[in-house]
Amino acid sequence: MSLDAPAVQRLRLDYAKGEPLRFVSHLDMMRLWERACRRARLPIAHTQGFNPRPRIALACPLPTGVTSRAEKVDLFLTTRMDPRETLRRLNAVLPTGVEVFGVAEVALTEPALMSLPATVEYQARVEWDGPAADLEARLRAWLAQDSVMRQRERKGRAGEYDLRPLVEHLWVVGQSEGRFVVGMRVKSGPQGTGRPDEVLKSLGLWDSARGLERTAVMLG
Amino acid sequence: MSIVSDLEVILRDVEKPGRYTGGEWNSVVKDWESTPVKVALAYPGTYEIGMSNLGLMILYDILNRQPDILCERVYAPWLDMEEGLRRAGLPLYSLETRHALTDFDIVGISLPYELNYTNALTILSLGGMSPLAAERRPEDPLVIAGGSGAYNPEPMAAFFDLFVIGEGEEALLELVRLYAEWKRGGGAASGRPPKADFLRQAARIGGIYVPALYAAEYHADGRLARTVPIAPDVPARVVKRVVPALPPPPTRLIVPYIETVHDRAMLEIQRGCTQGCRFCQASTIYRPVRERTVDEIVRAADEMLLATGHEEISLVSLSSSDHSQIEHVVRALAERCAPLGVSISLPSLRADAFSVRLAEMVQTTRKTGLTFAPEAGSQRLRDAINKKVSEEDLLRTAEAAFGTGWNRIKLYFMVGQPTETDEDVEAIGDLVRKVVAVGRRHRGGRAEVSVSVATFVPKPHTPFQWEALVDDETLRRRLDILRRGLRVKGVQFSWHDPGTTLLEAALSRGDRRVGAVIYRAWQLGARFDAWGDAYRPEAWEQAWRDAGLSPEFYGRRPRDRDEALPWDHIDIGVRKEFLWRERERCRAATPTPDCREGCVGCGVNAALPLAGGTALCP
Ligand code: SF4
Repeated sequence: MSLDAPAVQRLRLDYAKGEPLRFVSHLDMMRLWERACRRARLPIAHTQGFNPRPRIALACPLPTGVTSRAEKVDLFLTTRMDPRETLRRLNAVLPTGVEVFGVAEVALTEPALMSLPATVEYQARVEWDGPAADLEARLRAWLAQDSVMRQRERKGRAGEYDLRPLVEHLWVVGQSEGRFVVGMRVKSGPQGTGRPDEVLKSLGLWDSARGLERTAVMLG
Repeated sequence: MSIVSDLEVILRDVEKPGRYTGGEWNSVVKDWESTPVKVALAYPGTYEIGMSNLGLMILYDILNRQPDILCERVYAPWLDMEEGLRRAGLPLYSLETRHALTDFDIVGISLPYELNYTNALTILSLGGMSPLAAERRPEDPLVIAGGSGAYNPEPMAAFFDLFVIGEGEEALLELVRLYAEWKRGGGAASGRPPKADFLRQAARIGGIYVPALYAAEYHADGRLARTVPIAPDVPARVVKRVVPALPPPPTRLIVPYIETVHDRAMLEIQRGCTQGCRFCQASTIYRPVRERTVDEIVRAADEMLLATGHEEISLVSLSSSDHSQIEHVVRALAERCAPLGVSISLPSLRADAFSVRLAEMVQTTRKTGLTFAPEAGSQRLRDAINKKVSEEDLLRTAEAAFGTGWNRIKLYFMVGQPTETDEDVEAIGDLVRKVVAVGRRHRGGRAEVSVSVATFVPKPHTPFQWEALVDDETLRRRLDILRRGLRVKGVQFSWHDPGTTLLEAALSRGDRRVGAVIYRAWQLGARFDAWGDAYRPEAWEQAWRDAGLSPEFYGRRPRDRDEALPWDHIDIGVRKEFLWRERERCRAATPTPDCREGCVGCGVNAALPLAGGTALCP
């Protein structure tokens, strides 16, 4: 295995990040993947230069505090690997709560995962006294607004931004564990990312929200 | 207990929630119901620092290897988490299976540092029991302590049923076995023998100190008169435990999710140190020196890298350059690590050209910085503290380092050491300027020397255990001298004054009565005393007043040769006469050679059972 060898194959893995990792951040996930690939002894390619980094890329950063059934990671390899074998080797060295369930080969020339705009869906269980129809009405009323201004801190500075255009849809999924499940479809990408906790906060549903989870990521 | 969903709400509002969720790769989760003996090991500091404590990792590994024992981890919750748990009425829980501390048979707390003593009390209280041993219920766990703080157990004696003095690899297992037997014999059922009975049996295990079986007596002027056993069959002095040969190191190290202080694989290549620096507690309490062989180290490194996937491996020891085979070790590891993209770190290098060569062997791509610790500026003071670095050594080291491509050297010094004068402190500036000049010659404007200065705190079981902490006025004057002397281009001077030096000095050499101060300060809100944003000086001031004691009495008072010391009944193998002789040699600025060159008679080889081991004593 040589650090300078060029990448000859790119594998895109679908994985789940479960309850035990709810509070593991995006950056921490990056480190987790690097270490898991080393434990699995995968021939990961490295960036060139003074400080070579493993070529591993994650899609749409998952906010800390959120689990996911729909994460993606790209691995660049210096030797061709059988995708199924890669999946098997990784699952053997991943901590409980991370599971790879899909793998596909992607052309080396395709754009980077991070650069792709995406549509992302989340779900959360919320408390709601009253019929589902009332909750649906609340969601519809939120969507009917022209703008929903929210505060955000960026590089230590407070600023305002409009959350409304980042949200495509809100709906009631059903009921679970005595709570209603609310679904959200938001944008993620260079033009702006809709944060699911912000959506729930502006709906007044955050305090009772539990089990916030990303359920789908649609690239492009 | 349905901690989980309540926890989610607490955790989403605390800083670094990943500290409290466990589930890391290589953490060991055993079946709670079917494992009879349950031990929690706690670290009284943050997760990020505690996860870097190799001692706890070793014990976690040993205990979890036993089929009938499970061992889980607990770290001190940061202020926000403590508040969140208290508000929700939730107990402090173990990371592996989220059980409250009171569900365990034994709770062991490591005491690595005086300034996190109060956190040990938080752990016990938030875990569901009284921090005071005398007030705990019979059904509460056995609460034990170990680590370097246990070498003067007296200030913390009120909070623990017993202390493990010395290395825990064998002693802890013997203790847990004895406890399991006692429990099987009905110890935990109703009508069992009282815990006192178990403690008396435990006191017969080598290295186990049961404070309730000893009494401290004082002179009218407040000085300690003696500490004596008050029960039959209890040793007058507790001799520290050592393992004659180091057992194989743990290799399935827990891999944290969040970034920790030493986020790398830690491989202990040697225990103990023969340099004999007189200020250093590690130098005496961890004697004798034992090395691991090259084969053992390489095998462990291979296993460790495969088991953890870490990108860096750190060779742990008090003085890496002293390992007799260090060159072979480094060469063999470098060969294996380079193709894997794994880097090697070699902390605690001696200041000599040999060490630069070692550093050269491991730093193939990046040359970030090299760290050395001359500790004093003048040759006289270095002789007095027995730090075996000459100016020539240091300049040659700088020559070698800057000459082979390093841009930065970091130097550690201490002020406030015994016999130190203003001239000694001025000499730090002179020395640093010479190092900078070497750097300039090789690296031009890129050369950087960072100088980090700490205040010397006298510690138990060292030749300086009788000395006073430097007074504030002298300290301030010497800092001014330093600041003036180090105002040079290319020098970064860092001086960390947390305002806790006197507290550290008092706790470190305190007696049993100091326990009341710690307890009171904790009640008044003292937590994480080493952290500037958490430290509550007013809580401590009031606690000292309430107890009718003063930190100056413990920290700033020089002791006579014949004064009874609170840790006299703790026997580290190194004789008190040897320590006094070293103190006298300090006064005369006479160095004592490294005992690898010949035994200097500290006494450890006669006091401890080393036969058949790998100890380097004759
Ligand atoms: S007994 Fe002698 S060789 Fe062993 S640690 Fe003490 S001084 Fe060194």
